[in-house]
Amino acid sequence: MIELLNQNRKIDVLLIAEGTYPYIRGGVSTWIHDLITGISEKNFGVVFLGSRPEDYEGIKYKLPDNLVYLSADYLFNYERTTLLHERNANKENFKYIETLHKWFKENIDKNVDLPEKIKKLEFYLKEVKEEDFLFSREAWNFIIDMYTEYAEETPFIDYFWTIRNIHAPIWVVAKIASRVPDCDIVHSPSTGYAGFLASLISYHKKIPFILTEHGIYTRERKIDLLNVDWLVDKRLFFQRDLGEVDHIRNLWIRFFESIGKFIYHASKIIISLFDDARKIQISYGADPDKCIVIPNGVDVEGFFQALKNRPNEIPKVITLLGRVVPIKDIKTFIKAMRIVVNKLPQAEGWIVGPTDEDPEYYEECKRLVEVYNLENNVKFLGFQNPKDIFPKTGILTLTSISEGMPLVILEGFAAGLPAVATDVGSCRQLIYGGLNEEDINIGKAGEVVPIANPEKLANAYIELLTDEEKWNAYQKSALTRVNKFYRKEQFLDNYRKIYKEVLT
Amino acid sequence: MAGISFELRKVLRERTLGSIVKAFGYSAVLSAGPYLISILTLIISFYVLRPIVSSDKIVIQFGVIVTYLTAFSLILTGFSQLMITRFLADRIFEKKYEVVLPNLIGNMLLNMILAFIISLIFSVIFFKEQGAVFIILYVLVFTIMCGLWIVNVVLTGFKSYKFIVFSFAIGYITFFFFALYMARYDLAGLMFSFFVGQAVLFFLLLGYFIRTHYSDKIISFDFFDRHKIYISLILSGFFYNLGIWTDKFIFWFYPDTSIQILGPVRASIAYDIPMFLAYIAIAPGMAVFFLKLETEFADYYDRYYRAVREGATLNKIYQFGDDMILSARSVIFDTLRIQGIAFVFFLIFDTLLFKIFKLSLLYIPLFHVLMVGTYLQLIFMTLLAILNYFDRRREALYLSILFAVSNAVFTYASILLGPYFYGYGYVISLFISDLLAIILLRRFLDEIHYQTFMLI
Repeated sequence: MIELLNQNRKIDVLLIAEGTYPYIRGGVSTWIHDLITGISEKNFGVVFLGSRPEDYEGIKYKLPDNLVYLSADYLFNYERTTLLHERNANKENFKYIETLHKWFKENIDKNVDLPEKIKKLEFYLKEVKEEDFLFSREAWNFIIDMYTEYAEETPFIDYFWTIRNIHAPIWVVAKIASRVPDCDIVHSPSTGYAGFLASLISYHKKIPFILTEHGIYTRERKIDLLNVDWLVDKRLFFQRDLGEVDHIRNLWIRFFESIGKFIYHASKIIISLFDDARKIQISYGADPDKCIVIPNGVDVEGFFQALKNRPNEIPKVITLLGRVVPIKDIKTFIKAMRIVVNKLPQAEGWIVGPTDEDPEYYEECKRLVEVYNLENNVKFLGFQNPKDIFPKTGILTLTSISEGMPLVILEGFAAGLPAVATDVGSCRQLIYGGLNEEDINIGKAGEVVPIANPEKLANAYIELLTDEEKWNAYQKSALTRVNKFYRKEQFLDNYRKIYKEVLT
Repeated sequence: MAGISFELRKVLRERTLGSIVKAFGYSAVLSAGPYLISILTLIISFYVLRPIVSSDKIVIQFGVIVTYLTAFSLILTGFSQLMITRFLADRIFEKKYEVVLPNLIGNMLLNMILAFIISLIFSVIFFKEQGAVFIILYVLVFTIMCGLWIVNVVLTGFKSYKFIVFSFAIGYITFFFFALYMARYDLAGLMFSFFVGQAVLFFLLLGYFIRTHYSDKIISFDFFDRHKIYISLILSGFFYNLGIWTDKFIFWFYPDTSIQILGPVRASIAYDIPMFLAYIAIAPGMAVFFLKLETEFADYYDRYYRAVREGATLNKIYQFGDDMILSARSVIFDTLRIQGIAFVFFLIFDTLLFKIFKLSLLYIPLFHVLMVGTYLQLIFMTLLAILNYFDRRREALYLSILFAVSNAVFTYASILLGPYFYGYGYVISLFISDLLAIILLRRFLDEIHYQTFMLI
């Protein structure tokens, strides 16, 4: 479905947004919005890929003028009007899929070029069509064979639907690729289905494809999958090897790894936000020569007022800025606050962010606050403007178990706030410095602690709130670092350069 | 009332010869009960009433009129029977219990209104000479029968067998006793008695349905929603009922094989009486079919689909699928076997049977042929029932159409070939239909797993 189209203006850069901009607020969405508004001399298009239409409320951003194309498609929209029909597909083509599967299985870690056929749209639209995959006897036999070979012990219905659910979006994506308008560059902020779509567009239109990975999609999928509860391992305890992940989870993981590899192959430049991410990309099969790091940037001037508004003494307030969801591990923060309050009774912990995304988790967190008797110290403030909150805050914290590059840390830096964060994503690089020698020499701008460790967190909080000298030193490093390496202008200029580079 | 299979199984579990006979008799009454009760009551009343009415002709007229009313009401309601049963079953599956009653009533009234209009036009044109009283009774009986079939088929679908049998018994006993007194008023008196009996039966079934289903609405027509019904069911219900009567119609209206009874109403005494007996002869087969389908097969069917839904491994699914297919086979074969025995039994005692009913022994050869026909029709019912269990609507439709059309073609041909061939048209039509049904069922069962997973 095309939401917006300005045919008079040609699209320079087509962005593929999977479950993000402009229908969902959040890190990647903000990044896309900043990129489009920042590079105002170019025209952008956005292809939004959602899960199901009912999962989204509507456009959450004021669309910039240079966004000239926006379409929305849904990967898991199973409402069918046509009658299901038994059918036979071309046996040869299904044989080829089998070979393809083997190819990916064997070559996943090697740098072998991809089979030409799967780069071509015709393969998905003509040779093995969506109906073939969904309804044909060949597809059925194929699934049966795979199951018998790899997953004989798993519940068949789960296996069956997993196979369908992971593969079905491929045809949705192929159809989109065949109808997107002309553009010069295709740019995807993740691998997964978005990256796959970008790859197909790139092969089909013979235009360069740039990949920016915020988190490592494949790895995040792994974490998601290990946490989802609809995938119940029905095998008995003794049927499993110790630490073994069951086949269905493996299947998802392998699928995304294969697709990730395909996407790395297709992209001309692979961008990561920090160096550790770059290393992971390479370990997942990205060509090191294509990999570069472009950190995000923040609008440092915008936080100048917040910096000026700081009171003279350090507020005994620790702010966690983020959604109240399990991945942010709010519970560990609450536990740490109990230890902090034991030492510093006047200390407060503020949780600033929407609470409606996972109401059950929110309830659990609130109960935890009651159980720890922290009603006067830990507060859920809901969504707030960070610029109002930062001056009243002594420490900015993140307790997440997974992050990409959390912009909020940089925003805190710009507002003169040291950070205490768990050792995830680029936190270590941001807080201790890690871009280069010079960055390291700036010094620490806070503390990095292991994940899910309330005690270490609490110690870091207490130390920082009680040692004014240290706090001042950290603030200085924070301001220096953000000004030197993480300004929005630098970030935008980097992308301007890259867009120019790939076109020549 | 839904626990019939449970009760049957309880009886069967005793594992004695007596218990098998008991379960068999029980299911015979439940499955074949209504039609046995109606046919037997009509036959008995024929012999009892003959001395009371002024002439034999009137009893024959009555019998033929009732047959017509039954045939046409079944065919007219054939459009609704499968469709509405499925529609209501689907709503129950969605747990929308409150829409069941109003929609049943809506559909029933729709059929009754149509029946009223059609029969009124028909009888005013063709029964002018019979007078107003006859016309009114004719229209009333036809209308009430149409309502009756709808309630009956839905209650059967919901497995309220016991109450149905009970109601048929009460309804036909009422008719019988009314008729004993009313027979002195000739045809109108008999028609009136029949109307009272049918009305009692109808209101018993309807009352039972209303009592067991709650709703705050009285009537609704949700079943007109194109997305909630299946056109294939509407058509296959119609063609199936049409098919059953096609050969009879042809015999009734072909000049050489029929005589005029009343107005346009004709009958083929030579064909009809052996046909009636042949239908009675398949009662044992129906009982076994019902017993096996409701107890064994239903179990295996549930087990297979439960395994599919609740995440069994493919091996288990295959295994349960094989068990289910074997069970379907045994439903068919056991029905065949028992009916085969019954067939031989009727062959041996045919003369005796005809003498009891004071029928001309000339009918015996045709009776034999038609017995083969009803035997094949029993198999056809069995195969259709299994296909319907698997919701193979398209196959059921093809088969119903094939049955109706081939029955018409071959029956007509058999008449043209002469008396020696009477009945063979019906037999050949069913033979072909059975053959195709077996092919389609086999083809489906061969790839049942593919069908189950990929095409739902």
